Amino acid sequence: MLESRSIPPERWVYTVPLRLRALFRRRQLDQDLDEELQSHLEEKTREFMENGLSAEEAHYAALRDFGSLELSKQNCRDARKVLWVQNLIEDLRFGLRTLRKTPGFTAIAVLTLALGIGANTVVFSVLHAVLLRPLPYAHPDRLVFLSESTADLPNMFISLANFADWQSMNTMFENMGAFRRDGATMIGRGEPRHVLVGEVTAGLFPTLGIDPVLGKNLSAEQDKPAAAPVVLLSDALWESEFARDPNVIGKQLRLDGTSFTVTGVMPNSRLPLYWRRIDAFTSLGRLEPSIGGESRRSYHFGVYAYARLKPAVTIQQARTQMLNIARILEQRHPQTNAGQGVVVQALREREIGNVRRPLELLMGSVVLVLLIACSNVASLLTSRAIVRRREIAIRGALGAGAARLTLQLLCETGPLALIGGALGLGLACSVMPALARHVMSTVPRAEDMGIDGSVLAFTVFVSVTTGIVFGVVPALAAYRSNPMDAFTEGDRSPQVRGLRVGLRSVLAAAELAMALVLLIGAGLTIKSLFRVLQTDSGMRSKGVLTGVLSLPPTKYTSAAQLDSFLQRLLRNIDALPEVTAAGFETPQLVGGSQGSFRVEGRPNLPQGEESYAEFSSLTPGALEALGVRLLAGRFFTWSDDAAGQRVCIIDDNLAEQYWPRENPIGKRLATEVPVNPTWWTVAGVVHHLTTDGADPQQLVEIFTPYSQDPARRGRLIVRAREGHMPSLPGIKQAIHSLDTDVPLYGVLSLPDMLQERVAERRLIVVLLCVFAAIAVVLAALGVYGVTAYMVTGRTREIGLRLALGAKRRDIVRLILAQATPVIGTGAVLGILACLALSQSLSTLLFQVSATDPWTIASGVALLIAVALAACGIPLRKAIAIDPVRVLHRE
Amino acid sequence: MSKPADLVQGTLDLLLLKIVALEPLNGFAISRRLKQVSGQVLQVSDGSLYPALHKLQEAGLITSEWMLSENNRRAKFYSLTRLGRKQLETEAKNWGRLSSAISRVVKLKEA
Repeated sequence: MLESRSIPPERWVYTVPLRLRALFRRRQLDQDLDEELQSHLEEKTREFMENGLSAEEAHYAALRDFGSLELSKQNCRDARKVLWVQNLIEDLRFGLRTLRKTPGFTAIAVLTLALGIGANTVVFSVLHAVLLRPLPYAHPDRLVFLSESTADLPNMFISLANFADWQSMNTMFENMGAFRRDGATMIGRGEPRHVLVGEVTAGLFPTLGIDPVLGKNLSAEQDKPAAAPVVLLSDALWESEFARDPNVIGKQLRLDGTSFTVTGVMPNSRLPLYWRRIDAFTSLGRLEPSIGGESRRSYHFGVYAYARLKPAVTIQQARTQMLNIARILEQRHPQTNAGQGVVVQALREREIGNVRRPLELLMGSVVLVLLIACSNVASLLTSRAIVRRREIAIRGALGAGAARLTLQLLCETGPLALIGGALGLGLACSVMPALARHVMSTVPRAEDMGIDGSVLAFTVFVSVTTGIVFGVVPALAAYRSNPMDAFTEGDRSPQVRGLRVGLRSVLAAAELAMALVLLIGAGLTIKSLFRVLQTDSGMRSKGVLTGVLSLPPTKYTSAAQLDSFLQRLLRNIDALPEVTAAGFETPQLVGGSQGSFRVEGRPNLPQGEESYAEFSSLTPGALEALGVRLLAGRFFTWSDDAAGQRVCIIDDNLAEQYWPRENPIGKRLATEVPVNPTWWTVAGVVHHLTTDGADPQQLVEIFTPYSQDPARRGRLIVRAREGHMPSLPGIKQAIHSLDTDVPLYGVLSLPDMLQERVAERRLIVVLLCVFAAIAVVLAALGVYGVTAYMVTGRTREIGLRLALGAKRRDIVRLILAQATPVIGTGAVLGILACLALSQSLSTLLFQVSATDPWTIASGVALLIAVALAACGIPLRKAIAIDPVRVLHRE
Repeated sequence: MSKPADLVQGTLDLLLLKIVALEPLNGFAISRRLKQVSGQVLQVSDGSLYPALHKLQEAGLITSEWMLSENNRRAKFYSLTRLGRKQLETEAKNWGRLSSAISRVVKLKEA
């Protein structure tokens, strides 16, 4: 009742300094206490003496009156409330001393944990940067990504005519915005330069909730057809072209010969990933009439859209409504919209969906590595704990409670785990920059990875959990076993031996199983990578240089102008001494543009189920420069021009599909089927081209002559003769001798370009291999530990057997008989785990089954070999036992 | 309260706070004062006096200082802190309420 005090907040002001004093000035406080009680006793003695007792009698009377002086002192010290801290410090000191006394054990345990925790920290930091952090927009969960689909193309660009209808018909979205990525030649400071332009509708930035840092967003007026051209600068362009001039609003920027008025500057970091590298934003609505021309509604090129769900609207509701709208549009425009659906995807899924699986796989792998590391340390600790059973039992017998004992054990494993964690963190920090460089180009959002609060918290959490679970559990197991044994039999009791070997064997088998899972996983991804690299790209990539060329639209207005420029340019380049072939290709090497087609003589397929192909248009020389194999017919020549017959070159897949037993040359196919079909005559058949062997879509390919379908921007492809590389200055010179306003950018050798497409796959393989290697080494350590322990423990028995006439061979058999079940159990468990996990791995594999027997077999073989090798050292020791000395010692 | 040592739990704190509130005193003087003012009724053993004082000090209610006692000896003198004064007020009030409540109950006439 009186105890229930209300605690005023300012109480801390008084008590905190008191606690600190109690902790740090303990000696002085104790001295004070002695002195205080002494002075009390003296006063009391004096009082008794005044009452007539002798000095001695008075002294004893005072002492008697006081009661137990020590108890009183103890109670006074307890009043300081810091006893537990002092105990903890003492336990920690004791723990650290124990660790220092066994440097070998400590080093192995700490290093093992550091590897495990370090690997986890690295992968978690990537996972955190990419998957866990929210997208940097207001209410990102309400943002969706819109695309269209047909039976063949699950993620098609949208048509702007459809988008306009969606905007007026839907009721689920608060805001919508469409966008397209384009490029332009900028004439500003210095040489003309290619810049990336994001063409957006006025609704786009409001949908994302991004405001300009300077100036104003696009207004609806500025987004109308034929509106005055305005531009929003990216942070980078503001810096490079205007030196971050705060008065940049109203200034002019020349893009592709048109003068744009600057109306604002966008914050760079908050833009969607897809656009981080974009330099400037202009209005898409202004261009709308020119996009797709008459066939606007069937023109699906380059445009996607974002939308923001109204509060409390689910993505499922939006999906249902958008599909209904698609049905209505299908009825209204059967010519163009038949079979088309709308895809509503959470923006988050869109931005990181592709990397989720690989990252989860990697995280799973490092967790396995950590578990193996922990098992190793637990195994070491178990042996120690059992050695210390006697000590623990004595402490228990002397009255230490279970809580105090546990705390004390924690004080030994805790520092181990924390030092391991700190080292691991250091390891992670040193690996991170190198990894970030590799990851950045392939994994979205990874550029922001690093050690921040969350990652740090994760590492600390992992370390502490490790310390508790794998330190205390085996120790408690030892504590719990009957303390009598500890006193009577000590270390040699067979029961103790059994427990020790048993627990360590189980841990070793588990380690082997986990290592096998990683080994097989790494093996499968390696095999996939090889399969991908082995797939025939259809090109001979050595000695080929490519670069993007963009012709300004103000100068090159007609198809004839474009054609003649390229003809002259390619002739100049061909004249370079080392060049053997040169060509131009548009819109983009493989996968640039997709469209439907039909083959003459075949029935028209219903809308939405047509065959799709990848299209590109090529100048003469392009296929030759790529080193594509001609299977039938001929390559293009400059006489395949606008006036000539419309011809095309197809890939062997298409030929195989439609004319399996006929000569495809001279056959006809049509493009732009629904609106105004154009007929093309097959002039040649080439081997299928692919830049990413694992591309799941694998559409057939149709190439048309550049002169019959010219474009302003495309890729220049130049091949040099054997053992040479085309000279870049020579090519640039050839371009600038014709027109100084044409930039060449994105210069890449063809091999590099092809390599880039497998970079992500390669990265996963490298990381998995590293993890698997660590796992195998750690598991081998575990096996070594068990075997070595067994041999040491059976030295006497082995010596005896040898003395009684056993051969060395028998000794080897004896040891292996103990190790084999461990290795065998590990292998079987590992295989079972792999089979159980095969489903989740299969999506990441290419032309390799997740249960590929060869990979599993080689994984098992490698593991067994390593495990047996790990047994080797203890085996040698066992064989070398000298029976005479052993018996002598007895 | 037949045995002086049988102080109601928590009342010792109240008594100690009240005594040092009057003037700073050392432990010996506190025990003497307690006996004097309560007419020998309330008494605390020397062995439990000091832990009680230290507890109050660690709770920030009283503070101590080395000074010379009336006999010219170095002794530790305790005095009330601001926090202690507040605590004393509330506890005294509580005590008042409690004791009058108890005495009302005790004075009930048996029917």
